[in-house]
Amino acid sequence: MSLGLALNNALTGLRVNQQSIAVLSQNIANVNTVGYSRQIINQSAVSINGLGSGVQIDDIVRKVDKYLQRSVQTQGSNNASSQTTDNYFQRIQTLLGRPGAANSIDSFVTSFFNSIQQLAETPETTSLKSNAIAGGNTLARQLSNLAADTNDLRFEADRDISELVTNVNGSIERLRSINQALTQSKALGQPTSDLLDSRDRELRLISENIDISVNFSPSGSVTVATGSGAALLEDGVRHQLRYSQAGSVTAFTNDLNLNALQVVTFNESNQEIGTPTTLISGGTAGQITSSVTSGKLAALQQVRDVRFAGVLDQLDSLASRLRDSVNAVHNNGSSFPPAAVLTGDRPVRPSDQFSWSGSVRIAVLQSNGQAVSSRYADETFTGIRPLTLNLATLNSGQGNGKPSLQAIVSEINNHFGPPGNKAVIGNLNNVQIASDTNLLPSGSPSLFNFDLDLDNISQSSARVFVTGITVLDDTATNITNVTQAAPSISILPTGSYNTVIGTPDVTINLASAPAVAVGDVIHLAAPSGPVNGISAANLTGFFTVTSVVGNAVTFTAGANATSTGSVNDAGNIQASLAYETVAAGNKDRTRDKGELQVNLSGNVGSAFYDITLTVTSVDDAGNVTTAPVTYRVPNNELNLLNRRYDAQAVGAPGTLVIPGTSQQSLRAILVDANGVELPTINGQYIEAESFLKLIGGNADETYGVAIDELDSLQLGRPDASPAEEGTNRAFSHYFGLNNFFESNLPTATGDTLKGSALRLRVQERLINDPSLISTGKLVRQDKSAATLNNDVYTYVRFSGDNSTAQQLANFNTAAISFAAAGGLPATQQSLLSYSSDLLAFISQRSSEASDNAVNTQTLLDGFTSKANASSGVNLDEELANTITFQNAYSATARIISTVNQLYEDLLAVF
Amino acid sequence: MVSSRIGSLALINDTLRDVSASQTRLSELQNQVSSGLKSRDFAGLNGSVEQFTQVTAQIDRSKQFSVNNQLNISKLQTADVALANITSLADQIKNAIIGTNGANIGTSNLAQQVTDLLKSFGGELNATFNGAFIFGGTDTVNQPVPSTNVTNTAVGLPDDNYYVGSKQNPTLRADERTEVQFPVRADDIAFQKIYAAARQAINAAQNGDASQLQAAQQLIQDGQKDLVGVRSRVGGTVVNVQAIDSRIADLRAYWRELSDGISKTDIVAASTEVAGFQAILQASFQVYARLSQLKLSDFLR
Repeated sequence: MSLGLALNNALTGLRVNQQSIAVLSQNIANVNTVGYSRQIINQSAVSINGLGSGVQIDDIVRKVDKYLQRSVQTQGSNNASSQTTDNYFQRIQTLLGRPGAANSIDSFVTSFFNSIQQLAETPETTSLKSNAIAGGNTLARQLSNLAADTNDLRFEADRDISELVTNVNGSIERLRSINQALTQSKALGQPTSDLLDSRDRELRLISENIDISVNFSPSGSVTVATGSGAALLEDGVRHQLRYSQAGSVTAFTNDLNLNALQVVTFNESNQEIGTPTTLISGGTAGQITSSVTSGKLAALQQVRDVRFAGVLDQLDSLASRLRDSVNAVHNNGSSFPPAAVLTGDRPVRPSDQFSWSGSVRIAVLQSNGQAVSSRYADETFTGIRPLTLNLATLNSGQGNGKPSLQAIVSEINNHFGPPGNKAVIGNLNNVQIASDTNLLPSGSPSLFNFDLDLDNISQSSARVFVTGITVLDDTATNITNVTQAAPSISILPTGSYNTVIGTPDVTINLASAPAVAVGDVIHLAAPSGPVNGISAANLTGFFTVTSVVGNAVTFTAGANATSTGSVNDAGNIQASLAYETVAAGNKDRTRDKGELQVNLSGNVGSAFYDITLTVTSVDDAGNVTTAPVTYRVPNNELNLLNRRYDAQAVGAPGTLVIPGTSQQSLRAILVDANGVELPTINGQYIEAESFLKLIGGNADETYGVAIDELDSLQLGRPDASPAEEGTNRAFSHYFGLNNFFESNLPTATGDTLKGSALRLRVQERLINDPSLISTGKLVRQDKSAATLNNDVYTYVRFSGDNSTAQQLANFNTAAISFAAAGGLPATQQSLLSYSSDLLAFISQRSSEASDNAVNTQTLLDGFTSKANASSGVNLDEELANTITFQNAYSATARIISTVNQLYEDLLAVF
Repeated sequence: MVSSRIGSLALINDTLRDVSASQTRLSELQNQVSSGLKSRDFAGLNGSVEQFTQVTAQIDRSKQFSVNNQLNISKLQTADVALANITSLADQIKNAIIGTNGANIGTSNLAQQVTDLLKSFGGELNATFNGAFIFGGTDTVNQPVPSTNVTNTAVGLPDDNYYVGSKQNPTLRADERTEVQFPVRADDIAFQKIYAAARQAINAAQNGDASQLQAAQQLIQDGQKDLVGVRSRVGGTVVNVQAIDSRIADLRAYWRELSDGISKTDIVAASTEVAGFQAILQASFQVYARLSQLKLSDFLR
């Protein structure tokens, strides 16, 4: 080996050691740099032709464990997802209030129903009414605020998504630059460790935000795609995430469509090319789908569209059931004193025509809850009786039980409108005729169909017969032409009458099974002659059925038979049946027993027709009262359907009672959104969106209005094709006449569920006047047995009746059906239990989010720790290496010095 | 896998993270001890949220029922006081009738005496509690008995013709499942009999009819017997409501215990845990401080 070679070797050693110390100093300088990978020099001996020629630096490399690095990236993504979720759930936990404090949903629910319970004990106490309204208002406000705050959080998650998109796009751009630098450095043989660290840092940042897959090229550059395969970084084209965040929180409160989050591609000229790849679809919460499975973005999307949307669904479910349940009961009761005005909050149209079943009762009352004094002197006890509106039989031309709203309004006004003359016959308090024809003249032949509206306020039922009809025109010419026979049964011409000697029992044989029962009354026209000694007169009139056997009907004649046997009746006498049996205290229309019909063709040009009916009432004791009643029906009029005609004249023993006043006691109208009554044409409202309004009283006096829902139900349009489901709400609840909570955007089948919590409000009228809260119901008040006369009972509203308040208070524990919502299964439980479940569900999810956050953080910490331990700088190790390289450097320098001395010695020889 | 080396930053970070975890837990414990609650939010109730909310709701409801029960007991006691007065008035009417024998019936002032007593009788039936009439059924705003003299349809026959209140008894809710009806109205048969007896006595005095007076005496005695039943119904209801209220109070105490078990901090356990974490934290700081003193650079000088 020559001295020159030794010198060269030493020089290479000096260079390598110098470089080693430089790398070492870089390591020490970055001892606290997060993400910095410790660098080491790979060196190797140089030999030429088998002869050692020094040392060389092969490469400066990072000490990186690739498995750990990948794990840190994956766990970082999971951890970012769980931390984000946890962060949001911690915020919603704060909104839910503190356990045991009076600021959580469950405590507001309890507090509301406690206030109602307290009111139920002394329902007349004004302060307790205010307290109950305040309790409802607080509960509504809290639910609404919670829904609003939850929407705020969703909006914030949306903003975070937008910010995240910006950050990811920044990282993609930086990675693109790093890729280029890596390729260049590699080509030039320059060190790439720092670039690789930067690359890894950016990849980590992206993976925290979105799940990605990475492909590494030999140069160290990377291509990146989302977990679902959408390219984010590749050669030749540029990709970016694109997302337009919601403009304001109203996008969430109004459940508007959100924009999609997409990957868009640009060419080198920065022009968008191809079809964007959708990572998160647009739409409303329930419609949105996502292909992002981890990272912050997945968590934010889940929070925005699933988790907190689910919380809102649960809140909406609670709020809607609270609202509907309370409103149903509240509408079925009334306040004390009763409200003077009830205005619906459901938008309706006059032509709205739905199927209804059952009846509803509407009453006008004085401020002390008693019935308003009657306009008729003979109704001292009952006052103005309520209207029991039979919706199942009301007909506005489409069949029974399908009245238009206009018909319902008219029917209410028929009852409570200005009173007319009253025809009193026996125990019938009033006999009106009701038109079943819509206009006169009605065509050819000109028929007028009508039936009887019968009011019985006595303690006995009334069997009502019409045994004669005459029609006079405006010149008093008799134009009678009756085209509809009374309900009847036919007596066989052979073996018609059967008698038993010495008894008044007469059995008639009928052509078919009779539609009568024991106790019913039949009317017989006079037979052609005496029957076995019973005179024709004694076999004519009204008889109570004493026995029905097969087709044989037995009754008691006016005299005993003088022989036994049967007698034929050549006249084939018709036996008439009652049009209607009106129970004690009822008001009935004869519609279901067949209508009456007269043919007016005798003079279609008459200005009016005077129709006289011979009406008979038979009471339970068999007392028969028959009297003629005359009604005047004007010709040439429209919209007559269901119109009532009052008696013009009543013959003895009936009486015509004239009212003391002609003022109405209640008015049903349709108003627009501003409360202005809709215009009418020919007495019919014009077609427009409107609200039903009931106004008690008249220009001089104010009366209260109380409603009992009875069994009324709005059934939609079951006959339509396809059938339209109804709300199954009772009358007042359907129209929202006496709601406690505001309706939420009414639909054909109820109220919109979405936004129920957000828009939950106690009705303003109750907040302004808490005395309008329903505490009790209309109740029947019987007249004292000792003072019974014609009128026997009425409906009143007592101040201390707490039945409605008690029913409302029961909702705290009564089971209600809840549909599945936001992860909670369909269930049947109380409002309180549901609110507890809701709290528990959210809390459990919060707890899970918190546990997940701890777990993923622990895993991430573990892998990060290992990665840092493996690739991070150890100060002591670097310091020890300093000594090593220093010594090596010194030794190498000594060799140079020695070689130099040798050279000097050698040169000195010469 | 045992790591053969460890980065300085990793060492520091790991130590600080462990210290931070201990401090977090200590902070939680401090909050628990200072607030007395296991958790400041529902998520911290570890799956007992439903039970806790239900129990606290029951406590609140029972408090409300207790308040209501006390009110209702007061109302019943007011009724009892009125009934005691009514009993006394009935005695006075009876004594007036007995004191008027057949001989002096025409000259006595029985009619006036009974009329005056009836006014007081009516006044007692119009007794109020918190401004509401208590003997008018659910009609609490109108006097159940008119101030004017009442009349019977038939002399000597009790009827409720005088009564203008409601025929419904108000209901009281003593607890979640028990409804108690207010047990008396002014149209009770006992009062009907006393009214009828009084009217009959007045009639007898006005007509000098000794047999009617005797019938009136018999009728008022019947009425008094029924009155005892009325009072016992009221007393029984008071006892019933008191018993329910007492049971509610016992249940409330139990529910409180249950609720505390779920939500309140176990101070002893928490304090013990604090001590444990305190020791860990101290040891961590000591070890870290000692290890930090060992630096190779110090030995390389």
